[in-house]
Amino acid sequence: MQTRFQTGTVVSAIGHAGLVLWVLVGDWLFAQEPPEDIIVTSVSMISSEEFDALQAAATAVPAEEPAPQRPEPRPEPEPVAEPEPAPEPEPLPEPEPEPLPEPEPEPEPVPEPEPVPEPPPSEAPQAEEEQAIQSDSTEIQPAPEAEEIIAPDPVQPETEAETSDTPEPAVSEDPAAEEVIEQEPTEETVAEDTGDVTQTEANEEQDAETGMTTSVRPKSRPERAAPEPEPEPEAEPEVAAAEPTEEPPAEEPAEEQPVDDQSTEDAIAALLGEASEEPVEEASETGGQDLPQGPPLTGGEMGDISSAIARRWNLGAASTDVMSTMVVIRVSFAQDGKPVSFELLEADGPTQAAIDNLFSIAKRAVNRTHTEGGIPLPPDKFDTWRVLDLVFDANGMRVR
Amino acid sequence: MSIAAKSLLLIAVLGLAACNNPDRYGAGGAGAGGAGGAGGMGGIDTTGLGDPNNPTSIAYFNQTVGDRVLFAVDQSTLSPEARGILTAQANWLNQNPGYAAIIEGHADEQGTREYNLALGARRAAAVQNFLVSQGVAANRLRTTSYGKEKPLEVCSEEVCYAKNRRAETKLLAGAGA
Amino acid sequence: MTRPMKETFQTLLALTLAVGTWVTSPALALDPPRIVIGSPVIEPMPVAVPTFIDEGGAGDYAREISNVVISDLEGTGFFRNIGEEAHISRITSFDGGVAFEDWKAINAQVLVTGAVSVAGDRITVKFRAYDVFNGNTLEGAALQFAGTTDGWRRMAHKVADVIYSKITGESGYFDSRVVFVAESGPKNQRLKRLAVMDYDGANVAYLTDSSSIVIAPRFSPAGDRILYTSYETGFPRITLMDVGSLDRRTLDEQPGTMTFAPRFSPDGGTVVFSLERGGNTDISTLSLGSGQLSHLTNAPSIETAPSFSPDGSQIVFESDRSGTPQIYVMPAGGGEGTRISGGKGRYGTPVWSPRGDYIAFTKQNEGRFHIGVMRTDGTEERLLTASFLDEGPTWAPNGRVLMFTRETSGSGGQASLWSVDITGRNLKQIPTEGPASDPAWSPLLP
Repeated sequence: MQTRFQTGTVVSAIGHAGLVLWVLVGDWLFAQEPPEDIIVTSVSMISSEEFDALQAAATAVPAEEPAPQRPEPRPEPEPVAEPEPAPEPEPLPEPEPEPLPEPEPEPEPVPEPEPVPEPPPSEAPQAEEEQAIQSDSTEIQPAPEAEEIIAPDPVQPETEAETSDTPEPAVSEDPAAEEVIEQEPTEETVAEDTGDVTQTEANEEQDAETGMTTSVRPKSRPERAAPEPEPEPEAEPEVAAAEPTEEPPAEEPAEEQPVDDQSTEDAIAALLGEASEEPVEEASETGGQDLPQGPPLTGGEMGDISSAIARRWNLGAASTDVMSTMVVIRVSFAQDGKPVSFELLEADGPTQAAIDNLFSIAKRAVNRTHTEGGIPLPPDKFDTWRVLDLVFDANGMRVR
Repeated sequence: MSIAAKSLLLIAVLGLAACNNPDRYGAGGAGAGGAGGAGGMGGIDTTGLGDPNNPTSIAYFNQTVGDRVLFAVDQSTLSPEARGILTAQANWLNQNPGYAAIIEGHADEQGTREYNLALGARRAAAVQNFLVSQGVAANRLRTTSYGKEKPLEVCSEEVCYAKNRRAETKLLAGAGA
Repeated sequence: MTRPMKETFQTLLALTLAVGTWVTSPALALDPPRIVIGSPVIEPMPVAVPTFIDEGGAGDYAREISNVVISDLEGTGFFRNIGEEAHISRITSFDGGVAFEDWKAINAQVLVTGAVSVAGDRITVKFRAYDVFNGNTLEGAALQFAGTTDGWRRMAHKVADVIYSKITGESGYFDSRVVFVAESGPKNQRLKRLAVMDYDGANVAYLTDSSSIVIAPRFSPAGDRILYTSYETGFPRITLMDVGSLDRRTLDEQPGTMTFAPRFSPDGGTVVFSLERGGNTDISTLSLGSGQLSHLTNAPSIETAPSFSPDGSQIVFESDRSGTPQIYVMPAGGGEGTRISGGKGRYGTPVWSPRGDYIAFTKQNEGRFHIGVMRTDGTEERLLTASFLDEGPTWAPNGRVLMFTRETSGSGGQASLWSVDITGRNLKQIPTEGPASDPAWSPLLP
């Protein structure tokens, strides 16, 4: 038995010697990247006065003024050797075995003085021909609709699915043709959700400043005791989407009525509009300020405003929490239709961050609508629309 | 047993060459080198196979007795055919007490990595239990599972899957586990 | 409805409503008209990221960093970069103020300006992100990062993380790493070795050689250690590696057993894993400190692929006790477990989201594999992908994106890494230099 192995042993010994070398040297040769200490500091802030001054200067001196270090805005198109676009795997193992990047204090978000609105459009030098920034965004481009992205494969769009599966023991090896895409959140699930709002007052917050009511819903769903996923036939979208959160916790002002669904709302608005003698809404305990006077907006006018803003209401970069959040914002307009102030009136969502976020998104939508052709506010009814309450209900978007 | 020794030298050398794997794919990291190279594969892969005509050789066991049994989808129960093969394996092991064996369980690629590892272990255990029931000393047998890590056949059809759902009995010369 | 009739009806209804309104609002103060905004659009938000300004010695770094920021943002599917050729304004000085009108004109909803300077091997990157239409700096999105030049990518990722979080309201995931299995060789002789890379596939480094099979690595919650299953001993064994030193040790040496499918507890002190003995696989935990071993399940069925909830109180796992693999949740101390998967097919590799809100899983049905998510009680199941073989999802640190293994069929079948947003959008392949499998996302780096 021994003889049989002798030659082999020699061969093996040589191989192993090599291995041992690897072990000794390999650590050093092929270890992790050295830590990169990243030090975070806040960018020095400029005060709004300074900013104003800068703006003034910028306007006074045509922006053509070359920046000190860069005499020319770099005319050459793709001058820089463009080593590589983004995610280029770098094959080389790093030389020194060192721990992963050392922990460093997190960047402290620093409050930033808000630059005063926009300065007069500066006469910035028109772009030479700068090269478009190269990026590996091939498949990202003009976002396809939610559905078709799901997968390049035969899965069908995850429209809603009625996974009517019941737990079943046997493996089904047989390929039947049916695809189960999605087990739908049932309405009752959503409803439960709303139910939680009231009971979890730990999460509830009152925003004293704005006087608005904010309810933060608990994130996790109640545990179901047993796996009985009965499929519920699905009732559909818009209503489903809007409804559940629409009846907010008790402290919500009671004037909620017509808000459920856009079309309903429009219809009612139309009715109210045509009823014409009556002002539309009830008493305001919240703001109380500007009392709209003047002729009410017609349903058509309200619908136009609604859809003009909706077209710029983009949830493409929103968190999933935002997709189950609703805010009502009060917007004051100047006579030329420019939105001049925003106030968060009511909100309902799983987290404060989501509420804040939807508020920003809503403001952006209104501002964009104004910038891009204007909000269709009937000029003769300024007294009516000088203050509007706008409802942005993102509920249900997530499921799409 | 020494009869075969000389004629097997060459084969033995080839077997040992398996140890060189790490070097072949040199750009390696710190690596499993030290322990893995020696201990890891040693017991399993470095034994000469012998002459298939010699009924006491590993080659004979593998080819004539049959070193593997197959399983149905998701199953670890032994078919009558598998029992036949295992009975022969047990007889061989009982006649050749100088060998121990490692039983490797495998699965086809349909299934998650983790589940298939567990499934392979079930299959290996089924074989082990059968061999023990046929009189092979339990301490001569060990089991392991590769899940879907080591398919024999590479196509993605049932004809391949069927051959991959298997348990292999790998002999170890000498050692009594 | 004819028009006169409709009008009559409307008037009636309106009067009724009006009266109702009067009744409920005795005070004479009136609320402004309330308008419900219609359905939102969902499309990438246009952003402009002019090449960062070179404030001294930055060289290519300025452009490279801008590119990585753009790539990070666009890679989410949330943003669309407006190429520099379309820009009207040039940013020539970091503190020079911004002509919002120029950016509005090209519909840039977010503008990111930045500056880079390099001195020796030190690099400083500062940036500001503006909410163009709201006419302000995004709160908290004006920061400066300083570090060594070889960490420039991380700084770009950090910039993008801040922007992402300020805009979306959820934390970012760009400054993170992924440990995975780099594969080579034919299907029946696969060679596997551990590797780590940036989340976007850059900066690959290998942690082991390919002398023995390695599978399913997992990061510790702090990102400093990795658990994986190795065949170094010839048998599957859980190995713990220190990422910094690459020191390794094998856990749990009980002879005659197999151990695999490890994951850390949220505090990093405990490993939950599968322990196989005599052909039966159950779930156990091992305290890394005390070495205390506890058996959480004890059933003749297969129990595997355990994953802690982020609060450490529960464990989700896979079991075939019902006849097919399904997903169960049990208390972290062990117990019966409640089945949560209910659909047709086989479910495996459940992983609890770091946010705690979802469980991701692999589903096998009708001959295809899917990556999906469900609520932790099993409701709202949604399948995000489908292919010949998708498996083993891992969560981005923010719980928004999943990365997983996709393997093609046939004799030339190869594995690759893919990611998908939990809404099912933005499915894409992660660039790797060769075939790759079993990704596991690190936490956000500090």
